[in-house]
Amino acid sequence: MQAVVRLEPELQGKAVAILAGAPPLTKLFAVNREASNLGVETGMTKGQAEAFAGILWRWRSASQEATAHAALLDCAWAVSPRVEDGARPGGQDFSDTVVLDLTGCEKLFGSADKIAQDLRRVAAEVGFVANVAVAGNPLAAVSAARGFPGVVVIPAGEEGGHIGRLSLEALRLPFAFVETLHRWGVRTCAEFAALPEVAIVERLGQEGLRWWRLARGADNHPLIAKGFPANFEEHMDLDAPVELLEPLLFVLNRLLEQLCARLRMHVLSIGEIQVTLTLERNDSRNKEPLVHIRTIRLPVPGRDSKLLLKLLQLDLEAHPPSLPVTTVRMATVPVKARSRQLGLFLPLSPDPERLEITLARIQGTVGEGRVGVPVLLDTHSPNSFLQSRFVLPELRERRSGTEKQATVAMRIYRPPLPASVEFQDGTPVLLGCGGVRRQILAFAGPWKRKGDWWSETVFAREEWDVKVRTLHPKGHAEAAPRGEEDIVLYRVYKDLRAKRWFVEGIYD
Amino acid sequence: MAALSQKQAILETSFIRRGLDGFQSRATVELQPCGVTELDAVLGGGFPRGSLVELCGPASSGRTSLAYSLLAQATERQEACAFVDVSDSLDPVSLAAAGVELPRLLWIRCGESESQGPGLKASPYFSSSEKESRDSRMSKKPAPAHRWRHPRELMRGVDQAIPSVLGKRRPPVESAQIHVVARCAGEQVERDRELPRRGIRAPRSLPAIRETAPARALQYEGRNAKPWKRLDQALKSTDLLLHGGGWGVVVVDLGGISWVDVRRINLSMWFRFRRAIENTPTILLLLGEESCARSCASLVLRCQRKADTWNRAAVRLPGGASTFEGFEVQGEVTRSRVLSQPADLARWQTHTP
Repeated sequence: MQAVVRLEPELQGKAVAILAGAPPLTKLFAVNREASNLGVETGMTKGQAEAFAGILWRWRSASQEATAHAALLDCAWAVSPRVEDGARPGGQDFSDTVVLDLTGCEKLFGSADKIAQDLRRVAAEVGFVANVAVAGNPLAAVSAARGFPGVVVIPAGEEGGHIGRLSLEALRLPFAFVETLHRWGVRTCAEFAALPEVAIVERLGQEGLRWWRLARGADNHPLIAKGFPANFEEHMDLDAPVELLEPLLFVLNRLLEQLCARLRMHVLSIGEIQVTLTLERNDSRNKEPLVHIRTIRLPVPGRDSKLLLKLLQLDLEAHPPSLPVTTVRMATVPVKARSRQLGLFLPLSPDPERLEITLARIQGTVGEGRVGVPVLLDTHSPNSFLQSRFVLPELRERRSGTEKQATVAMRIYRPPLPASVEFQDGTPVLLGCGGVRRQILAFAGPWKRKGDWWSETVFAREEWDVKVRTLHPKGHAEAAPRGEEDIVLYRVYKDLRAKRWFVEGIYD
Repeated sequence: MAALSQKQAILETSFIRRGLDGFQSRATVELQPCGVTELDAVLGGGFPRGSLVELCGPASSGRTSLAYSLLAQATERQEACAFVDVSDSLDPVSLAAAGVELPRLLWIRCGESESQGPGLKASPYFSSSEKESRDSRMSKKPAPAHRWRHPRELMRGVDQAIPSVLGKRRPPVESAQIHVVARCAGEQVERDRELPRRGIRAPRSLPAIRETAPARALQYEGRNAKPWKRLDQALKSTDLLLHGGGWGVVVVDLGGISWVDVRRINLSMWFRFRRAIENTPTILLLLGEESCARSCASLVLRCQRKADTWNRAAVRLPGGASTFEGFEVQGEVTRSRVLSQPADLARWQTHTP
């Protein structure tokens, strides 16, 4: 129930029932207190439950429960590094329970009561209403947490007395055990714990022995610590396929907020975020899931959910899924948070988080692959550059200022303009381009450039620098500028393989 | 005189009381050296920060070289810079040769990309006028590779496009390919492509199938068509950059666009940009043929090439020159709100890398 409600906070305070099982055997798997007050009980069929008005239905999702359990573990790791996973592979009994070792934590976080209160508050941040119990051994703590609401601190050695006050139902014993024990006249944990161990094993078996130990609250089994996770995931199954981006963003926002809250507990940031959208298949015969995966790598680790949501929005606007979305899974790769020393005299640079959004927006405007940093390639081939992602470089020691000369810049035509060059006595005299002929006033060249003959990117060209005066027609002659303004410096080249002339660019 | 200054003081005080702080005397403007000593001396130290600066001049006038020099100075101070390349004409090799630290430069290439940019009607940046529709009609014609075209060329192909207007009836072009399509399909054939039937319907001319390669000018339609989309992308990107903040120099290169088109950008856009960089250390540098931001520009510098240098060492060569070595540039301050007075001149030499 809490796995569902934590991702849909608007369900809090409303009567909710969780359905499980394939039709027509669909039954209520869990109901909350509000639904119980209306008369709905676990185990009812859907048809029976539909007789009650005002119930909100949700389907059980194993992946959603798994992520909720992972979030619960994160809450425990925020306090202690030694955390035992309560979930057992055999059953679902302890999937909502985690056990943590508080030995030595008092010096860091205060008394056991304060730690318990903090744990409850941290769990509330990720959407859980948690019961916290502190006891001398793990089983007693589990029993107390199941039986007593809120925060309970049981002094060492008094576990039996406290747990003995609980009823058998409070321990969530299986119905068959409870029925048997009721027939024996056993109603409370104290009465159950008073039974002899051997007799319990003889009559109820090993399973009964486990419950008997739980009722006694006395067990000395060692705590099995769980390893820290490598990535953080959130998952949500949608009730109905979502076609539009806006409702999908609401779902993404919830998942992001949960992930950021979990990472905040570990003082970690997001280095990479991957969104996997499972799409609805039109072809029912093909059972293979159709997924749409988008990955965003952040150059600067961040934990701001609004910023990440904006990045995801811009990315999904540029690459929308082709079909309606049925399931959303969000996985993050955690990295250490960025530490940076600020100063008054640092050079001017954009805020890294805002810069990512700005770049994504600009990319949405001008197109993908048209925003970035020019990177020169180690080759003499013309137009040999790449455009890579813009990341603010690290600050370096400032070098002493060297006197620089102003250099002539080139403005490139992309693609180069086809042209024709007329020669007279071995010297170029006329340049024709775009239907207009220009007289060449001065020139320098040719400079030959050849290379890459072993590959497909072979180039062979003769380059000339030419100074030309534009030849205006009679009608434009009066309006045309006179003097130096009318004279332009071009770089032209002859492609030796294609035997054609081009204007590569203009000196400016 | 004393009474006049007293009146001015009273007036300013009343403005300040009303919250019009902008009428106060400006604080000292921080200047960014552009790397050309002669020009820095004329400008009193460099380009004013937090203001819009225009470098204008015709092609081959040295405006781009000066912009690169300013970028080199800014990146040397480890500032992040941006270059909004409207006509996609930036040469990274020249940029590196000018001393610009490429990792600190964001290059935005505008152009006809696959992204669905808004059309001109949706764009708020251009002034709407009757001229717009006329220009858009003209842009459909094959545009020349350069600035102007002969009127004879403009009329070329008109008779084929609208034969009925000129009173010429062209015989319908029979296309074997189209007939085959019509026969195979049998149904759902466009009315224009249906086979002739008995009846009174007049034969319609079938669309001509181009068998030859398109005219050469058409191949460059993308570059020479009206640059509204590119300008729209550039203005949007600049707006985002300036409002994001944190940039040392933002260059908007309008050098490849005709000044007639650039002047159609709403003046309010430049006001918006100027407002965005006010009280920030960012310099917004506009490169273009003519000044277009008008009163929004704090400094307008007109560049002009004066003399070019050709190495005459290898006189044995047929043309007498072996290498092009650079040219001399004259910068004239035509508008300044900072230190220098209009009509200040500076001359400097540029060199090929």
